This record gives sequence, structure tokens and C-alpha cells, in this order.
Amino acid sequence: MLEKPLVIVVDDEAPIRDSVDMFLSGLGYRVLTFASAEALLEDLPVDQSACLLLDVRMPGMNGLEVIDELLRRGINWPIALMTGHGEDAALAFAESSPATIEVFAKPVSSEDVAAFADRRLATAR
Amino acid sequence: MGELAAGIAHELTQPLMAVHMYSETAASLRKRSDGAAELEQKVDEALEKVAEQSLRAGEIVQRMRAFIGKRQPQLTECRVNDLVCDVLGLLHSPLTTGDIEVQLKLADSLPDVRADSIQIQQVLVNLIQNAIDAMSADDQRPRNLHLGTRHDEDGYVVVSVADSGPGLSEDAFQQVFDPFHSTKPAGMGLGLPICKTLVEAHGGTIVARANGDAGAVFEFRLPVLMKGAMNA
Repeated sequence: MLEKPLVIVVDDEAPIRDSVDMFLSGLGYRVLTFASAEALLEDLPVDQSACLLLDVRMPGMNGLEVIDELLRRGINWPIALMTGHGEDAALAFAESSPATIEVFAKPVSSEDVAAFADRRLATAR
Repeated sequence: MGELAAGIAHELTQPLMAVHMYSETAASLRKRSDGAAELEQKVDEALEKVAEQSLRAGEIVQRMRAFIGKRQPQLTECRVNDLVCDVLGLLHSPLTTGDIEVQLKLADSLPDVRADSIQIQQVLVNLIQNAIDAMSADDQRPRNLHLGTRHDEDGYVVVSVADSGPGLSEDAFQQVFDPFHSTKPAGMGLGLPICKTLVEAHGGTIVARANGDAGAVFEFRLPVLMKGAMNA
């Protein structure tokens, strides 16, 4: 049996992590959650066909910095940037970054999350 | 008020997004459950979390209401020195319990300001309570609270609240008036943003800076009442 595709969620807000985890697990995805960028980098999954749901503003390293760090480490997962503070900076970053980035304003709908995972993991496989 | 609104919007976004995700989870599990006990249990769990998160959103709204209140500002001629003394009376108990030495330096013949005395007292209570909290957290330092008033050259009455607590980092000073940026473990991060909103609604300004080597100073300025302005 093929392993289920992996979605990684990084957000400092526990209810966001937990609810997205529950939702995507219900759809049959494997989900890993991290409370900070540092926690993700410390325990980086090696799965090359994952996709990442990433909060922009977090204590410590922010979402944009972690994308740069992932690229430096040769990891180029498709990324959904979730921003609660206006989309302009995130869109500008997405435009200039070599990573595949989609930008979503919080609150992000379940439909958008499901469609992102579906689209990105279908192309990754 | 714009920053405050943005902060509240951000804070409410979290539980709202969680409520949405949990309820969608419950709905999609329900469709597939077909009476399977394990899935039914997951549905219940998701619904419990919906309830929990919607309560959290409600609490945020209630805290906001309690802070801002519903009353219209009642502007009268106020003596700022009297307001400072009234608030010291209100906070007598926490100041004594906290073993805090109060040093008052109130300017003589300070002009009156046109203000809502309750709101200005609210600002003072907040600033002094923060100072008490900051100093009470540290047993090693002296606990001195300096309260001062003066009339500055630009025609404002200036009130300063200075403490000898641990102070704040440069970053924390930058963010001290941003909503939801509390440095206290149980803080909502709304006290100082609301102080700022209230002072600015009076045509004044509020700033925070380090108190020399130790502690923080919060200073707000209120415009002085012009003769005859109250009748205009």
C-alpha cells in the first residue's frame, strides 16, 4: 500500500494546528504539525513529496525566513503561506521567491486548504 | 483605533478559523461515518472543539467590552494632579502589599485639561498597575514608583509614571502599544493599546522609554484647556 501523502502545518497557534490536522487527517492525508519554524527545522521530515502550510508571523523565525532556509537546504516543497496581517508582503515575497508559493489570508477556508493539498500533492507525485 | 481593530481582527481570526475547520471536519466525517463508532467519536470530538473555540472568541469580545465600556466620553475641566491623587487612593492596597515606595512630584499651578476624568483615571490605573506588576516580579530591585506632572513648553500637561522594575527590551518598547503583545503571562495585551486610544481621543500622545538603567517610563500629554474653550 502506498504511503499517504504528507502535509506539514507550521503555526504558533495551537487551535489552528489542531483543527487543520484533524480536517486533513479526515481527508486521508498524513499530517505533521510544528509550533515554530525552529521546531520544523530541528526535526525536518525527509519526505520530498510533502507540501507545507505555513503561518507568516510567528515568534522567532518567521514564515518567510523559513522558506529561504528550506531552499538553502535543497528542499522545495510547495507552500501555502497563511497570513493574518495583510497579504501584500507575502505576495511580494512569493513573487520574488524561487519556491512555489500560494498566499492565503486567514481565516483560510477548509475548501482552500483541501484544494491546495490536493493540487500540490497531485503534482508532487 | 485602527491598530486596535486590526489586533482584535487578528485575535478573532484564530478561533474562527479553528471553528470553521472543526465543523467542516465533523460534517465530512458524519457523511462517511455510517454509524462506525470510531468516526462517530471523532465527530463528537470535533464538535466539542467547535464549542471550545467559539467560547474563546466570545471571551475575546467580552474582554474588549469590559475594557472599552459603553459610555460616551464626558468632557469636563479636570485637575490632573487631583486625578493622580485619586488613583493613588484607589491603588493604595496593591501599592502597600507590593511594598512599593511612591514618590510624587506634582507641579504647582498646573493648568486644567478638558478630559473625561474616568478615562484618564483608567489610563493612570493601567500604567500604575503595570508598574506594580513589573516591580513585584523581581525581589532583587528597589521598588520605586515615581509619579510626576508638569506643564511643558508646548502647552501640554505631561504625566509620567516611572518604575524601577526590570524594564523592557528595545523590541518590546517598540511593540508596547501594539494590541495583543503582552509580556505578562496571563496578559491580554490590551491595556496599553487602550490607554493609547483613550489619550489620543483627548488630543494627546503617549510614549514609553527606558528609565535610565532600570525600569520603564510611560508619559502621556494632554492639551491644556483654553480659556472659554469649554463653551465653544
